[in-house]
Amino acid sequence: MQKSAWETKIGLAEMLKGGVIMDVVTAEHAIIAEKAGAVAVMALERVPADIRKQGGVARMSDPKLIKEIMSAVSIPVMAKVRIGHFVEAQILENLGVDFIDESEVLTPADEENHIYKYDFKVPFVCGCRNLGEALRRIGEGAALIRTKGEAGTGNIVEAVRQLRTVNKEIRALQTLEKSELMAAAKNLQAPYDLVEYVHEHGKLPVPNFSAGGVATPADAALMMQLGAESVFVGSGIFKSGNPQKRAEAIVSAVTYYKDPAVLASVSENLGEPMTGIEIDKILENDRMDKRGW
Amino acid sequence: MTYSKIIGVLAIQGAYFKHQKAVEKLGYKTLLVRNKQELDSVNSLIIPGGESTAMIIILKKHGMWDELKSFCKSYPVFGTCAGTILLAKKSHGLECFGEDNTFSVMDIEVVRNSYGRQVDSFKTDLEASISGSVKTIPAIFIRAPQVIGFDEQKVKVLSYCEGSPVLLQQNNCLACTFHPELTDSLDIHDYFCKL
Repeated sequence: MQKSAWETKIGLAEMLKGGVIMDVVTAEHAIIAEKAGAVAVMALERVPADIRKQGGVARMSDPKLIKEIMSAVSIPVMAKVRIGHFVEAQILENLGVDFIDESEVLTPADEENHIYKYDFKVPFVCGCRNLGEALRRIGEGAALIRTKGEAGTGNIVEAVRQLRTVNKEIRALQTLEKSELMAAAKNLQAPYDLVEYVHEHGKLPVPNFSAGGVATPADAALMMQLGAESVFVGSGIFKSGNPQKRAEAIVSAVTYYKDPAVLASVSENLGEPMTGIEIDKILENDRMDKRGW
Repeated sequence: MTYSKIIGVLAIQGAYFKHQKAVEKLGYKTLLVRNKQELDSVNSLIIPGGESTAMIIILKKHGMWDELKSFCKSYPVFGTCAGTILLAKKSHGLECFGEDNTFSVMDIEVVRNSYGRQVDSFKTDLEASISGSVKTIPAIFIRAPQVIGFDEQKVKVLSYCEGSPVLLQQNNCLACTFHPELTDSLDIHDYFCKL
């Protein structure tokens, strides 16, 4: 018997497919999320919209909060660490969280290196904006990739751009001859063996979810139709007028993402969505998706 | 006209594509099932792993619960992980859904997340008695449930892991607490498709 094998790490990511992972800041939120049909919750102290508004250094959450959330729900619990902060990851592993998100939403701790994720028993999810970044993270041991979007904006445009970019770059790799793959790896700044895998299989070697900017059931279904295998929703639920109703509607939208009749019915009368931000109104330095190397 | 069997895979949430792929490799036609119309077009159904709570909520909300419950009573069904939880007569950890919280077609008693959290997920090799012989099968357990009781008159155990039943059959219902769809082994899918 082997615990924490690569297959069990990817296995959990496989089980989360076709589902919604919701950001929660209290045990009460976590219970609302579970009752709405979330497949997992992301435990954090502030949702991205508040991190953006309040500023300051954003760090791993208080272990007490994470433990409260873990004991409040039966679904998997994820939590975030700063990019490169492997000690925060050691702490989360000790708490027994089910997935660690090495996240650009928190303030990076290392401007050159990400965490060497093979050192950990807990699987990691990491963000990407393009194929090269996705493959570098997988090369470091990430068992799940998500496009970053632009967290805390309620604006889906970056998530769409990034997922389309990853898909386009995958298709481009598939058209190459074997003799062209080393040059492609050089251009993508990605490990050669992973470039070879994508060339051969036409997909990432780990599941690929979407995050950042989902505010409506239609946003969630859009990402699924574009090829995301699940959807993370951050500020979009608990910063809206009726979190429970919106959470349920987004869950239905991810299951029935190809069924416009269901999408129409669940989109009805959801109350106020979170207030969105236009991406070009964000100062370059405040862009979270630019974090990660 | 030749009759060709269609194997359905419940596609509410979870590892449904992996099951679909496994069954297609065996040469069967498949259909992902999300609504009544799709359920009416299949001859048997796989209920994949994922989160049982999420599946129950979505099925009940979209009017699929009773449909599936009656389907499972009449046609071959194969549940893995969360699927096993749904097929069981009694599943611990679903109390918040009231009495009607499983399809209740197998006389087994199951506990959710029984091995612990994700760090306790594991892979191993098992001996399974299927299709008249004993086969070695790779098995991946993810936050897996455990079968803590079953009716010995009605339920046949096809495989054990460290003393605990992990692959069980009752008439044309098959339940498995691990994930054959995450490995290259097609033995269990092959067995189910022939039921």
